[in-house]
Amino acid sequence: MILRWSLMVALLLLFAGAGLTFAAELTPEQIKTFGERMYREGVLPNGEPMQAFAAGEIQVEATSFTCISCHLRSGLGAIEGSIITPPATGKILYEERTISIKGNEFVPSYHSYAVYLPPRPAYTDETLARMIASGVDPNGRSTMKLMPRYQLNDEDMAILIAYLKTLSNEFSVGSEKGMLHFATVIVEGADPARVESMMVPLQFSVDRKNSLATASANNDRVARMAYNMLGPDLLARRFTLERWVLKGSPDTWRAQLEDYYRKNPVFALLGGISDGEWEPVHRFCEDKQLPDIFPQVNYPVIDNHSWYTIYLSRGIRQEGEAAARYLAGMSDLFKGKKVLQISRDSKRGRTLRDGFNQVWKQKTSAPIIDITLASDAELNKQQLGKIIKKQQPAVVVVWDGQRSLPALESVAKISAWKGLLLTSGSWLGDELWTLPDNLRKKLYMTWPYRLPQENGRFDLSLKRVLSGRPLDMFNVEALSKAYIANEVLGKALTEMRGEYYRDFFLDNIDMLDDTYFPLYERLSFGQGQRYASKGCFIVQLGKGENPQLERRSEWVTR
Amino acid sequence: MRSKLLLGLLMLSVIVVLGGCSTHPMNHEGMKGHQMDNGGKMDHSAHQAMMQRKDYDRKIQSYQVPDLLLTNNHGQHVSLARLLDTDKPVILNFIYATCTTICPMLSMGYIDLQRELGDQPDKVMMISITIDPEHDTPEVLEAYRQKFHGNSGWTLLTGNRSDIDNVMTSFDAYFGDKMDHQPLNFIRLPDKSKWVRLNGMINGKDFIHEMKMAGVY
Repeated sequence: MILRWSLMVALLLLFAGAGLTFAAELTPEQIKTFGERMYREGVLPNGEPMQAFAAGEIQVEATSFTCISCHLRSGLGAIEGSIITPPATGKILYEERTISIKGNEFVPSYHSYAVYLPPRPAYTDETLARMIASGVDPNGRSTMKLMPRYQLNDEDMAILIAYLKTLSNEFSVGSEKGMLHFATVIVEGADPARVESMMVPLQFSVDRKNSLATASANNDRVARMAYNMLGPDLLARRFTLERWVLKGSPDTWRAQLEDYYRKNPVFALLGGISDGEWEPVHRFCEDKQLPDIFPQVNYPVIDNHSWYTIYLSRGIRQEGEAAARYLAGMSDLFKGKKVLQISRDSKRGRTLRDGFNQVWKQKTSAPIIDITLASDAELNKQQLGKIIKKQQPAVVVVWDGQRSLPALESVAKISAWKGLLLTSGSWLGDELWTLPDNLRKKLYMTWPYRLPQENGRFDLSLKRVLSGRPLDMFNVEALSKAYIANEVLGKALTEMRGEYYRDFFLDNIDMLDDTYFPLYERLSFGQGQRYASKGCFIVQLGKGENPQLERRSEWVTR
Repeated sequence: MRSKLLLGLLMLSVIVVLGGCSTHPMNHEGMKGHQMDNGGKMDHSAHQAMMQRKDYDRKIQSYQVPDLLLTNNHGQHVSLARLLDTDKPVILNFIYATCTTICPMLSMGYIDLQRELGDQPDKVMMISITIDPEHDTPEVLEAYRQKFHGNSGWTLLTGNRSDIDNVMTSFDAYFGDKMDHQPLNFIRLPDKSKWVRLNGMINGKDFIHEMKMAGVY
């Protein structure tokens, strides 16, 4: 309210002046608040939706046609299919556009947007306002084929333009003086073998990049090739990687992170590892607008609006969700019958159950009998048998690890029950591979990775970062996850044409193609998508001493 | 010899470290003609051609649409064949919810038509099939419809990846990756055997005009 009042005063004072100077009287905070809302949400400072004319004549509310949807969060634009969205930041708009990007004139790079667009003179406040309002650029060329024109009064236009001038106008911290600083967060207590396996690809990437920078400085031929691939800026940059170890209880992590960040404000976090909590790190990244790509955590923060952490998947929860989708798709199985769900009273058990229940309730009205197994209790075979015989559930879902295997075995033997038995494959650990034969026939399992027998073709890729050491020295899961972070980092940086803005870094990841890396069947991206692997197989264990997992579902089930 | 080896190793490391020259969305149909070979610059005639390009291409084609079970934005399983077995005019496109530029424009065309239809929103069957089924659950698609103020005449469909790929292929609209997709609209002609295929960022007026020409509206 105070903000709005002071804005009014500022506007009234300026009414007699030239329209586009209004914004100069606003505080930077006001410009950020109001301008960002217009840019990202299509909402005017007065709370009304911006009005736009799209595809020529169609009048629409800009809330479904925001600036951010094409120019992306950084304002630095995108290339999608055959459509090029040029940057919309003041810094670039107020410079002449030539046929190549300044400083990258000789980079034979196909993602350089400028080569596909006609040159234009630098915008001024007036020509920019005209373009936004009428869809005519300084060349007199209409942009209306792609860009809506927006109906804004002078004050709102001034705010939007002032905001564009602040958007991606100074490189993000962590990217000063030819450097790019990174860190990885390690929560004390994480398995040391996994920690070290995670560090190998990350450190390899940093060391090799620095070697390349040195070699490029000393050898013209290397420099020329590196220039062609990376551009003049990235080839010369050096990377650093710091370990940020968090100790003690999660409520003390914030102060520790602040301390690390104060000493070394990094450009982004790479990977990271925790066996339990992660939320304080997630919140810290949101508050600092600090990207973190692919932390190795079982319990990612699940929401639709966080921006700065990109997770490999929805973690443990994804298995529960996938199980519910798979089962809900088998409507013939139910016909009024129930699901019996037994979950261990632990973080893992509760997470699986909650994921299952949420999806189940969206998909079907078939009832669930929920039984919680106390954290120290054994699953009682006799009691379970009685419940199953009495209730005759269509499905028994048990969210527990190897501890409940004897009970599952006894359930598999109940001849009077023809239902389906399901558990979490990842929770069984190595026990999964030695399940007794009678259980193999009956037991279905969630498996959130590519099937192991189909993953071998990626071993060669992993070995490239091991410098001759054998793969079995490492925790391959942790190694693979860090390898993915490393690859995605590389892909994003090579697309960034030397523009080191954290939001642009994430924008570039969002625009990546579907990708096939070790461990996961497929990773996919999209604006604001924050859980890259969306799939989970339902599998059974095959026969024999060296059994394979047998697929019973597609990677993603709807 | 040694320096060559060193050079080779270093270049390999560039590929390893930086993921190689990734296949960026730019590398696709529609841009191939503009790939440059003169140090990053496109010649003037290519610019001219691009500037003078028609807004969209129009073709009339027959498609063998497979009969598959997909899921609509209300979470119901629907047979695509049964959905298309209607005497109503049908328009169809491929979108995804987190698409940045193309899909909002395609959806806007639907909304414009919806406005023209006024109080008869079900007069034309408007179908959008997601090309990102992994992300676009029925709930996501329903939220997308609401974001655009779409009404009951607009059905959004998702499904298993392989089924979606099949549908895209049957419309000759499979581009390998969602980031490489094209702005395509399909209008089924009244005899039901042929479709008008519009490729390009078509404006609202032209879209309505095309539908009138097709005898749909």
